[in-house]
This record gives sequence, C-alpha cells and structure tokens, in this order.
Amino acid sequence: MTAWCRATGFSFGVIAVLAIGWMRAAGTGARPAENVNLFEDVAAATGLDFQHFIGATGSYFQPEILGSGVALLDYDGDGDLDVYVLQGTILDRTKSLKDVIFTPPQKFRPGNRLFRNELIPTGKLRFVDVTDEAGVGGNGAYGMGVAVGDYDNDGHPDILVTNFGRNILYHNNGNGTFTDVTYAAGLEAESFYASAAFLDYDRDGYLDLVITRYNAFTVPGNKKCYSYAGGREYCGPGDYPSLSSKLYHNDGHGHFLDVSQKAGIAASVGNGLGVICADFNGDGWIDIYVANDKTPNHLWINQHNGTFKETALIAGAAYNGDGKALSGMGITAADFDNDGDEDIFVTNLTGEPNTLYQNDGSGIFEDVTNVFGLGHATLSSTGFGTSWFDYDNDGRLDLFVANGEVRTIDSQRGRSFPYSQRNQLFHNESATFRDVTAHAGPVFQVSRVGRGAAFGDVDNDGDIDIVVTNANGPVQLLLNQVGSRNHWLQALLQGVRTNRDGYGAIVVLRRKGRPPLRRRVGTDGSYLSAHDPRVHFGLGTDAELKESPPESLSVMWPDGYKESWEVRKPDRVMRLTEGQGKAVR
Amino acid sequence: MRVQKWLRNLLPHLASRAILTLSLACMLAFAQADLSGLPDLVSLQEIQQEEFEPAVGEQIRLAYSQTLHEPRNAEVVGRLGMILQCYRKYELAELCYRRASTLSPRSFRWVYYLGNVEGWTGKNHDAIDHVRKAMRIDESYTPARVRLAQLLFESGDMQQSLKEYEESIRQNPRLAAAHLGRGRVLAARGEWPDAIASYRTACNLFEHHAASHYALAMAYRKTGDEAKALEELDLYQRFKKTPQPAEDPLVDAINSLYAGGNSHFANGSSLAQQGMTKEAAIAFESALKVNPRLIMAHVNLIAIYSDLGLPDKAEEHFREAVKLDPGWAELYYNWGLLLFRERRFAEASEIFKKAIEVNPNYANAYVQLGQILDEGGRLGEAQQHFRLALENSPGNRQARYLLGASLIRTAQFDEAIAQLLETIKVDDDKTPVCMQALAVAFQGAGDVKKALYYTQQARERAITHKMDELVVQLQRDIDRLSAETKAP
Repeated sequence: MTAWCRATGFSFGVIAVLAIGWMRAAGTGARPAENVNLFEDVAAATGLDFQHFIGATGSYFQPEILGSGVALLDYDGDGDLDVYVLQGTILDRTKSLKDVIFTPPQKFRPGNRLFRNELIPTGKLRFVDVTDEAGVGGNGAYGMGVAVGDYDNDGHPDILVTNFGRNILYHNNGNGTFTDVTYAAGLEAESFYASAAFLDYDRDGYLDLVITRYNAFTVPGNKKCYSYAGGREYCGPGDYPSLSSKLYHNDGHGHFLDVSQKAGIAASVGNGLGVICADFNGDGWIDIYVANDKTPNHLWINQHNGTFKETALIAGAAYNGDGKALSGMGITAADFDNDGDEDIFVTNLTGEPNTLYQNDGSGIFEDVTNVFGLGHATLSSTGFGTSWFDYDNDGRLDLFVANGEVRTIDSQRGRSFPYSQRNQLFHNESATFRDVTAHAGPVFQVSRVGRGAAFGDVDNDGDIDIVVTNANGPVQLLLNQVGSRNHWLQALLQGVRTNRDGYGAIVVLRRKGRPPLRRRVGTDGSYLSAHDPRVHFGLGTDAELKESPPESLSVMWPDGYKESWEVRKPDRVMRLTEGQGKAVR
Repeated sequence: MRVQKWLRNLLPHLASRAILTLSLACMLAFAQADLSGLPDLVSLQEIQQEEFEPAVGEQIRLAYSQTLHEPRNAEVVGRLGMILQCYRKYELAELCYRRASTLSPRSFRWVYYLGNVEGWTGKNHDAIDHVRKAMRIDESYTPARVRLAQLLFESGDMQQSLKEYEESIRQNPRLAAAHLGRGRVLAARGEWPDAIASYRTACNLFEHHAASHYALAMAYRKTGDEAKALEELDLYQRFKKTPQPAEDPLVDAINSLYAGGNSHFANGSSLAQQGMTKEAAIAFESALKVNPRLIMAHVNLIAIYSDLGLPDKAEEHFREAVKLDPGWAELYYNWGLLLFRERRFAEASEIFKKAIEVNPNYANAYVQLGQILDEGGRLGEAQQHFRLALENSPGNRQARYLLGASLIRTAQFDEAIAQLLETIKVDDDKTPVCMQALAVAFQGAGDVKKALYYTQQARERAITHKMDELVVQLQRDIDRLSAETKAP
C-alpha cells in the first residue's frame, strides 16, 4: 500500500513536470500547444447569419455540388473587413421552393449577402446585413466565385461575382453602395464560371481579369451520371466538354476586352476551378496558374508582350509526381520554405493527395507532397478552399483546407446530404507539415461540406481568421484564438503609378539575424474566394522578437520599382504608399 | 475395498476427462474471446437501400446475403470485401476485411487487403502495420513489400521506404513499380543520377510504363537536360492511356470481379479505335445488355451502325437513348451526322440545332450546321456558324478550313488566307487539301507566285500520303499556274 502511494506520488510528480513543460512549449512557437482551441466559430454569435442553399431538386445539376465562395473586403473603407457571401439558387426554372430536396431554414434569404463589420467604430465584432442598401444581392444566377479589386483605381474595392450564368461586375461607389456595370464593362457573356482573379498582367497600372471556366454543362443538357457501382451521382468534370479560361484586359475606362485568344489563353482547355496569379519564374511579370479538375493544370507564363505561354507540363506543375492529372480545386501560392519564390499547393479529391509543388526559383516545380507529410494526411478528404497563412505567428506559413465531398460517402448514406467532412489544419515545422486537426479544438471536429475559404484579420487583433462557406450549410467564422499571443506585423499597400491595390507587389520583411520573410500582395487563390489584401508576418514570441527584431519592409512594386520602410515597432498595420519609401536600387 | 479400487481406477479417468473438458472449454472461451472484438457488418445493411447497376446490384446483394448466412466464414466475408472494393466502396470493404482477418488471422490475403484499402483511405499507420503483418505470414509475395515501401514513402519515412524497395528488387528484379518507387525515394533525397538509373530500369522492363517516363522526364529536367526531358514527356503522353503492367495479382483479382457494363464498353471502345467496327458493335450491345442505362454505348452505336450502313439500327439506339436521357448533345450530333450523310439536310439541321440547345458550346455541331447552310448557298450564315465553332474551339481545324473555303467563295481572300494559314501548321494527311485551298485564296488575292508555291507544296504532301487523285488535280493546277506566271 505504502509502495503504491509512493508510486502514485511519483507519477503525479512526473505529470506535473510534464504539464509545466508543455505550457512553456506553447510560448516558444516550436510546436503548437495541443488540445487548445486554436479557432472558434463565432459566426452565429457575431450576426454572420448566412445559410447556403444549393437549390437541389433531384436533377443533380453540377453547380449544386461545387458552389459557393466568399470574400473578405473593406468595402466601406473604415478599416475592418466586411464579408460578402454567395448564394445558390434553383437551377430548374420550372421548379419552385416546394420542389427542393433541402428546404431552406426559416431565416433563409435568397441572393448573395453583404455583411458590414461594425468592429470599427463600435469596438465589438458584429456583422449587419447591408445587402439591400448596397445593392449587391446578385442577378438571380447561381453564385460561384468572387474576386475583389479596385479596377478603376478610385480607392474603393470593386467586386466581380462569377456565376453559372452571367457574371456581375459591381463598381463600388464609395458611399456604401455598388452599381452593376457588367454590360458597360463587357463582361456579360454567360458560361459556367468558377474562380477569378484581378491582376495587372501588362503593368499598365490597371487591374485586368482572369476567370476560369469549368465545363460546358447546361441545364437543358444535364446528363444522368452514375457512380462506379451504378448509383445516381453528380456528373464528373469530364462528362461535359472542357472550356478555356478567359482573360480580359482593362482599358482603364471601365471596359474589359476579351483578349483570351490574342493572349493565347484560349488555346488550352481544361475544367478550371482554382486560379492564382504570381510571378512563378522570377522575371518580375505576373503569371497565372489554373487548377483544373481531372485535366492537367495550366501554368501560363507571361511573355511580357500581352501573351502567355502554357508551360505546366515541362515545368512539372501539370500533373502530380505520378504523372496523374488530379481533381485540382483549391489553390494557394506563397513562399512556404522561405527561399524567395512562389510554391504552389493544390487541393484534390478523396483518394488523391493534395499536391505540394516546390518551386526552384525559375518556375520549375517538383512534387514534394510526401516529403512534407501532406500525402497520406489528405487522402481521405476532398479539399476545396485553402491557403498558406501563419496561424500562430511563428513566422512560418501553415496550411488550412476546407473539406467536403462531391460523391456520396457510404457511411453517411441515408442522411439528407451525405457529403460532410472535417476541415484540416497543418502546422509548418520546417521539414514537415504536421496535421494538428485533432488538437485544434471542437470546431475542427465538426463535419460539413466545406467549399470557399477566405483568410484575413477579421477582428484586427493581429492574427489571421478564416471565413468558410459550406454547401447547403451555414457560413463559419473561425476566429483565431492563439496567433495574437505572438507578435506580428501587417502591411497595407497603396499603389500610385501601379494599380492602387498593389496586387502583384512583393513585400519582404528583413529581420536581424534571420532569413527575410517574403509575401505577395493579392486577394486571389483558395477556391471561389477573395482574401484580406493586407500582407501578414508572424514575428514569434517576446524572446524571438527581442533576438530578431524586424528592421525593414521593402516593396517591389509590379513595375519593378523598389523602395523600403523602416519598421519601428511590431504589432501594427503599416500603410505603404508607392513613392513614399526610400528608393532601393 | 472393491469400491475404493473402482474409485481409484475411475478417478484418473475422470480427471483426464475433466482436464480434457476444461481444456476444450478454455479453447472455446479463448476462441470466443478472440472474436469478441469481431467487427460487425450492421453498416452494410445500407447496401440494401443503395441503387446499383442491375448486374452489380445482383452481385453485391448475393455476396451480402451469403455473409448473413455465414457470418463467420472468412472466405465469404472477405469475398464481399473484394466485391465492395471493386466498386470503390472502400469504407465498407475495410469493414469486411477487418472481420475476415479477425476470423482467419493466419490468412495472408485478408490482412493484406485490409492494409491496402487502409492505404487508399489515408490510414497510413494502420496500413503499414497490416501490410507488415501480412508479410510476417508470407514474405514471399513481393507486391506486398512494394506496397509497404509505397506506404512508407507516403508517410515520409524515406529510409525505410528505400530499404523495402531495394529488398523488393532483390526478391523480384522484374517489378517495374519497385524500380520506379526506388527512383522516387532517391529523387526525394536529391540523389538524381541514381534516381534516373532506377527510372530507366523501370522503362526498360516495361516500355509503356507511363509513370516511369514521367518521373524520368522530371528527373532530366531537374538535372538540366531539357532535350531528354522533352523526349520522355513525349513517351509519357503516348503511353499514358496504354494499359499498365499488372504487377499485383491479388489486387488484379479484385478488379476482375467487376460485373458492370463498363468493361464491355471499354472493350468496345478499344475495338472501335482499332477499326474493328463489327466487333465493337457487339461489345457495345453486350454493355447495354448488362447495363441498359449506359448512354455512351447508345451514342457510339449510332455512329457505328451509321458507318456499317444500318441506319434503322442507328435510329433504334437514338430513340432509345433520348428516352433514357435527353441531355446528351452527342446523341443528337451522331444522329445528325447520319442524316447529313443521307443528305436529309432539313432533318439534320433540326437535330444539330437540338445538339446546340443542349450544349451551346458544341463546336462540331456548329460546323455541321455551317456545312448544311453552305450546301444551301447561305454562305454568310454558314460563315457565322464556322466562327461560332472557332469561338468555342479555337483549335477546330475543320471549322477553320471550312470558313476559309467559304470566304474564298465570297471573295474575302485576305481573311481566307489568314484562316487557312492556321490550318497548315499541322503536317498530316489533311494538309494537302488545306494547302490547295490556301493556294486558291492566294490566287484570288492576285498572288500567283504564292498560289503556285502552295500548290507545289500540296502536291508533294499528297504524294507522301498516296492521294493519287489529288496529285493529278494538283499537277494540272501547277501547270496552269506556271503558265500564268510565265505569261507577259
């Protein structure tokens, strides 16, 4: 008995020492504290009350299983991020709400919704639906994706909505309202659109547009498709002819000209779902990467003369390392390994690993998925919205993936919407990405049908939050609970000669005694979504900050002009206006 | 005394019986204790409610009812797992294999299949454990070692993965997958020359091993040999649709269980590609017998019966398919082609319009409509349709050629030249005709020298492709044009 008590006392002692050690480790940024709520879903609590409606009537129309996206943008310029969410609709115009398989909830409102963030000036994170007064409820088409950019450089972010149907370009009037300028802009052609991005591909200072297209599905042409065993399922991408992406040149007067053929983009077809614009070959010009569903991905390299050349195959970015064209959906690009170039991560279907392409700096990629532990960890999920982001502000870019199936999950058969999966969170530990989903808190144990994901500092506390849309489900606002415990720095750029948003600019943070951190300015990537335009740097703990304080931020603007700013103190948003820094040769 | 002796004699007997009985009871108890963790098959009840292709449903339900009758028969349960896996129902297959391997722990197959399916669903650690367990039962089955190596690679354990690949190669040097896998590990470690050697071995073992050619291309590109990289990519593109070597007989046994119509359909497609039209028709008809909902089989049979000069049979399939699923633009297109061939232009026109209504991006349907309009002398409208085809499919050479030819007829020679120049960028058996049209366009534009040049080029190519009639025609054109160029 005595021996047993002694043994127990010893055990308690050991546990106590371990616990203290664990708590200390949480502060170093080396490995995340386990069993801590890294994120909490505060959508309902903050009034971000949105239920996506897929409009399914039993005909298995393809858009129903693919939409919809979300944008984070400061539409009213008050310094906090507002939320714009897209809505589905009943595609069969001969049917009505009484014919739908999933009856919308009581509070359901049709159309896209804009929620204004009242953090500024109230100090409280709270959202108010301002859709009607803003005039951005959509045009009745099936909402797919959203891109944000100040296309006319008037200082107010504009919105492009991609639809199954006709897209919408909303011009921000600067007074809380938008005007639908689609026809005036020349963007009214109908198709099955997916993700879009604003980019200045010709460096003329105006944001152009690239829009992916999925396939030639039409409602009258809806096919009956079946699973391998013969049960009715949504059709796959290849059941309809593939389409090319579209490139539009902004003429600076509010009009977008379709230059897809002239630019060479129309030469290759695919089932485009994700798009991201970055300088992949390091020549200072913006390139375009398109994730295609079951067809090879496209890497469009800017030829500096208004045209692009498709090089994904020889660049190693068309297929995965096994030479297979996977079901590319979501996409993110950033310098995850801090070697000064843009790497790419693409999300894929269940049974296919998400793919990590590491850039060698010249636009040549190698599939390093398994080297970094992202292979088997992602095999059991169908990934959509994704981004690299530093959730714990330790200076390394982590990964989040919004998951949700597109085919019936056998174990959920019999449920009304049997496609639910859990989202995933991976912590960047330099040599590997560790799956921390199981330890990230209850919100990561919830299974939904994840689609879009927009990343940004919604509560302005210095860490990155995530808004996730779920097919036929509620929007989630995953508020980061841990990042703000460490130090950070954000930068909001304003172009003067270049596009006002500074899209395509590269921001480099120099720190004493440590490698620089590099971020690209843009709101594109993920899936059907648009992010916070501020670039974000995690600076680590007090000790790490003291050891390696930030020294300067340098910006290479899209036209190649470089300048820098001294960083005097961390934990703030620096506003960097072109021409107001110190020129760098 | 006698009783005591009798008792003394009986006791050992009783004792030995008791011992025996106790032993048996212990064994039974032990056996039952072993099976106390036996996964049940309750979840499989959902199968009863699922919709299947008829032959597939019959196969699955028969196998399932057999398991209900013999729930402790590992073979029966395991076979159900194999059938479920064949139809990509991995979760349910895993359940069956888990049960079968518990019922028959010394069986290599069930625990190997369990590990395999766990690997495909991302449960790598469990998969590695189970494949290792299978190998402890029988380490002579090399594909299992290759699978283990692959799982270790996916888990990021490069060292162990390499060890297993190398042992696999030692056991069976002719497994292309083992050499490919070894190469992948070496590449991940940055050992490019050795990786290239491994990939090269895989390609030498099986020339059509597409994945190895791709890996080799990436390796050459990494080491700066772009020319070789392009060569290998070319081979990869050529072989990627070729059936790959069957190197795991146990996994192939699963695939061979497929009872649906798709295997007949795939066979039919292969026969059709080889030009064996009658045999292809038989295969597609077989596919429909197994699965009457296989619309693509109907689509293909419309085209095949049209080629075979059996329009009634083609129409039968068209009508049947439209009843099944009117959303297939290809149905209308193929039927429209038959009507076009029979010069039933009015009907063909309506059918192609229907194809476009179903798929407004259907380039080939626009092309056919354009041809009908062209036949009817409505050249402007015809050109409009060819342009629509090109808008949807800029690479559609036929649309570009027809547009060019039509523009010649409306004396729009400059635009005709621009369109037709695009059509000769590819050098094949259509190029002579395209060049001939281009020559006519140049002549119309007044450039007789260029007209002569392209006519000569066309003739050379026509000779190469043994197009005798065209060669004669082109020679006459050359003679005429030559005379024109010499004329004062």
